Amino acid sequence: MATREAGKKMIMLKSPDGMEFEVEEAVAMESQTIRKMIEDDCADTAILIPNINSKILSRVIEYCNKHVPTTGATGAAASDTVAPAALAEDLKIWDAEFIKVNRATRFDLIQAASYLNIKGLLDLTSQTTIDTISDNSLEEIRSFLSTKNDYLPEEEQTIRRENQWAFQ
Amino acid sequence: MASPAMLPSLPDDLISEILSWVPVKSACRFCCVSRGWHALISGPAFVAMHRSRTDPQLLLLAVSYHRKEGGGISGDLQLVDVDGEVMRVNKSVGVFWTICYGRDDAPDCVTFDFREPSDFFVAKVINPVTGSVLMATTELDDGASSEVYIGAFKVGCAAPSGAYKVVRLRGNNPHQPWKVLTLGDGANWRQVGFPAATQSTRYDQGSVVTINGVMHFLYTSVTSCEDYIFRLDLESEKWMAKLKGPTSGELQTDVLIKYLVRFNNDTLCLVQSEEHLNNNVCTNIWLLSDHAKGTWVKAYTVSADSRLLIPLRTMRDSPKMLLYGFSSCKATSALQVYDPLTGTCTDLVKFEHKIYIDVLFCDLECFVSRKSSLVGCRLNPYSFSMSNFLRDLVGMFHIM
Repeated sequence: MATREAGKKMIMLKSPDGMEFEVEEAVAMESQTIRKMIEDDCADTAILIPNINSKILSRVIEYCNKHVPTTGATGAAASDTVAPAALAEDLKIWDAEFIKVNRATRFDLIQAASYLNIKGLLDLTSQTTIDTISDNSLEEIRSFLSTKNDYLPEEEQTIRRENQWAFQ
Repeated sequence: MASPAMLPSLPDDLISEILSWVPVKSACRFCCVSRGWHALISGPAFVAMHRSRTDPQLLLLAVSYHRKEGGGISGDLQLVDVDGEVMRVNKSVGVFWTICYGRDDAPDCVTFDFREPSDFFVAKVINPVTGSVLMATTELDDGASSEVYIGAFKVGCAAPSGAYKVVRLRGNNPHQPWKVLTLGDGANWRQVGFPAATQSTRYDQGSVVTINGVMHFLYTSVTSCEDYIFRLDLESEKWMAKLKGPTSGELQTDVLIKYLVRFNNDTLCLVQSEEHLNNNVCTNIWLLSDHAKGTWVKAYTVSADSRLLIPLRTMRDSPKMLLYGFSSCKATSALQVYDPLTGTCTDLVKFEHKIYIDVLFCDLECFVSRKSSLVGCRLNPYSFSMSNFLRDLVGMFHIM
């Protein structure tokens, strides 16, 4: 297993397109899926992350790096002198910047967060999608989430009537 | 890079993940997106996940009446959202009686209505949101009454069975025992006595509220002016140990009104308005913190300008409290937020010339549930007077 100068345990993550990412174990363990693999001792050399390309994986690692609990010197922005509230505020701003991506990337991130089981990232990506769709028309939502309207016209009328209030 | 039109659709579990965060109202709208989404959103697993992540929809309930053809009146229920927009009118569902919180804390509305041609009437349990009738009931003739007053009947939901039970209050005369009936179970009345009936002390009856299957009756001793709460477990139909009300301990105050409410879904709350010597009215909100020991905590003290306040719940992730306040003389009401840190009340929404009869918190389940079971029965008292929690309160309020 790879080890670096500070004595931190390192883990190698591999994307299916052949890229390798060396990350601290604590960072990788932000993912419950990877944590389980490490705890079950299935992570001797490198962990292959299927279905997540290197572009998305690098973003996910970026997120985990930022969100890993700052007990030691991890995370460049974190400092012991910063109050927790300010730190949380800083994270919020960082998250808002992080999620400014196009729709395809955001969907890839949702899928990656779901597969890797990273709750914070899943909440962030889902919430952002919600903010985008909550006020949109049905047509916009269908096109946004690539969902087909399979209602018969009269069926759609009935269901719309039942939920009329929600359109007000 | 795929163009937007060619985006692959997300797998169902991710759609479900995303949708579980949307407000109740949006979720209802999204039922119209496709058959698949409708099935997903109304599924029990999704409903449960949604409840854990999203605040319930707050709705206000108003009643209205219309004349039936051939005489008599029929009651309608209006559901109003917090913007004051009428969301739905459930026509001819009967006269509002009370709101019961059944299984999963879903608010069910109990109404009564006359059944032609004679004087008896039927009680109905309906989903206030969809208007679907969950149960239409039973004979309420307990055989002992020459004149029956609907206010003498209280309905509550037993736990864990979820059975709706009617309790017939008979004052504290030992010769007139209290009785219990299960809605939908014919006229099978059972006597439950009354714990105070054998005592020499006389009590004034106050409000009644059911929490977690236990019906609480507020009584004030005529002699000592002390408050007692008698508790009937609706499931076993056994009386539990009575509780002593909180003592305010301030002699210079004058209690104007007190009543019980259900706070935060599961906490018994006693609201006590008092007038101080300088004519300031303040409302003390006591919460029962320990059922077994009967410990009360004065959780909030709100200064109110002669408004009647109904504490509803604490806000998610904050010590602020949501309450509904109204002033019957001006006929205005408001949803308000009380901040205990600053001691101030802020109007969230103000309703001019409107007093709503109840405030409901509805999970997605109330909107998507299609459960409907009809049990034919009938009720039989012949004089009725509008009675429910708020109306009782309005009555008391006029004394102020």
